[in-house]
Amino acid sequence: MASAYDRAITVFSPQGRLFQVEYALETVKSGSSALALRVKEGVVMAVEERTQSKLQSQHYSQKLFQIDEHIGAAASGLISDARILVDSARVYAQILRLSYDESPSVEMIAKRIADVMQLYTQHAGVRPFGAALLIGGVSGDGGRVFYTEPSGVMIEYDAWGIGRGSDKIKEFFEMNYKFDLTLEEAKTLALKSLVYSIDRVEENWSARLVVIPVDTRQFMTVSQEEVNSILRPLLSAKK
Amino acid sequence: MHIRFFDDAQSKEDQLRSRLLKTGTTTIGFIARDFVVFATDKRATAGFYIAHRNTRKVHQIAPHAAITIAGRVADAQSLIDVLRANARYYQIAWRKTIEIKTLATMTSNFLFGNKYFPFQAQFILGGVDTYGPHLFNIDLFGSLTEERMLATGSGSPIALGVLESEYREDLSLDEAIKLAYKAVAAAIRRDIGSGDNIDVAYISPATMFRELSSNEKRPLFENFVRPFLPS
Repeated sequence: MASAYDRAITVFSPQGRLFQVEYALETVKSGSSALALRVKEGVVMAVEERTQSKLQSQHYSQKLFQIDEHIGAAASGLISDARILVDSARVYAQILRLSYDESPSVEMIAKRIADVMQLYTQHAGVRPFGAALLIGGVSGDGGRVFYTEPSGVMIEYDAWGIGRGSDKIKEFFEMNYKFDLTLEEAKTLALKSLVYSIDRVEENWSARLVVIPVDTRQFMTVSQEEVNSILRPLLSAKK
Repeated sequence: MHIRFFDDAQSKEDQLRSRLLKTGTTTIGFIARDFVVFATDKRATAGFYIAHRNTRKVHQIAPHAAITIAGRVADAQSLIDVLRANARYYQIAWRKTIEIKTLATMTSNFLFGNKYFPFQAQFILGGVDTYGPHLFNIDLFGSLTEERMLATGSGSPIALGVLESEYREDLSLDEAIKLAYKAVAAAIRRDIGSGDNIDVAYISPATMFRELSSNEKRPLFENFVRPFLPS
């Protein structure tokens, strides 16, 4: 008996396109901006934060996630999809630790997330994930940043941006990114590129920042006070 | 006709329990002031064969929590690996430091989940969290009791004798370390299942998990082991 879940939702078009995947990518393109970059001293990741209401709690980070002690992710698109992917990556990181008795590399985690995303483009009854992730961390000799998207593609970058402001962020990176920046300079560069990517400064616009330094290999949230102190002059200059 | 009486006959269950619980080892743990101290011997046996003389029996689970093992080494090690992975997952997913009672409950649930094919190991789990120092005894089926002073393994009766005589709640860290070392040293002298060396570790709010180095243990060796060695 034919079931409603027999047919894949993602099928090829006559031109060889996967429309569902492309539509998922549209969701990502309209999501709030996120970026990640790696420098000699570590990895920096940032997201723009647009609180819908003053009543919303400031403390809970919506789009920046920790996956393991030394790995984090920044998401853009359908954040609930991102949350599920991140949680499965967290479990997988511990499975890797149990199996190999070593810190999982950023690549292992990124590949796992990309594999799950790919599976959901080729399995009956499911839709692709509507989120792209920038997975950053320190493993081996230094920081690494990987990009994964609804198609299941995985690409390593030195610096990249995703979401609605991604074109502007990438433009800013191409002009200003250097591997030899210090962590402090990288933090400022991250926030500058976010400010560059917005059309105008809105009242409830803010940003969140995390760093994973090469020396500590620890995922660390940068305090909102420090973020605001860097943002304030940038935002007033923009106004 | 020869009639034989077995006055000291144990029930099958008791025999099983005594064989399983008191396998070669002495491990102790106790709370004093705001810290927890652990001490263990380092001998691993296979029957009467000393399989390993440098066995690690006190393991760090998280910066603020540690567990000692007594019993079948493979069972205990695999449980500790699983416990560590779950503790790490908890701390990353929920972004909070895991409490000692939570770790103890996780261990207990895991062991009870394997009730029909038990892990042949007994654990002392202890550490410091926001509610202070804690110590738990967890047996092979997962029974959980919170204690201030514990000893497990075949050498535990002897160690307990020393601890019962000298333990006080207000011992300083220095006194506590000496007492812990002394208790295990005494057990080693009387239990063939225990021996070869002594590990001491403690968890205090100031230092979190710290193990004593060989240098730090040398004066303890001189005071509590050397005088009793055959000349």
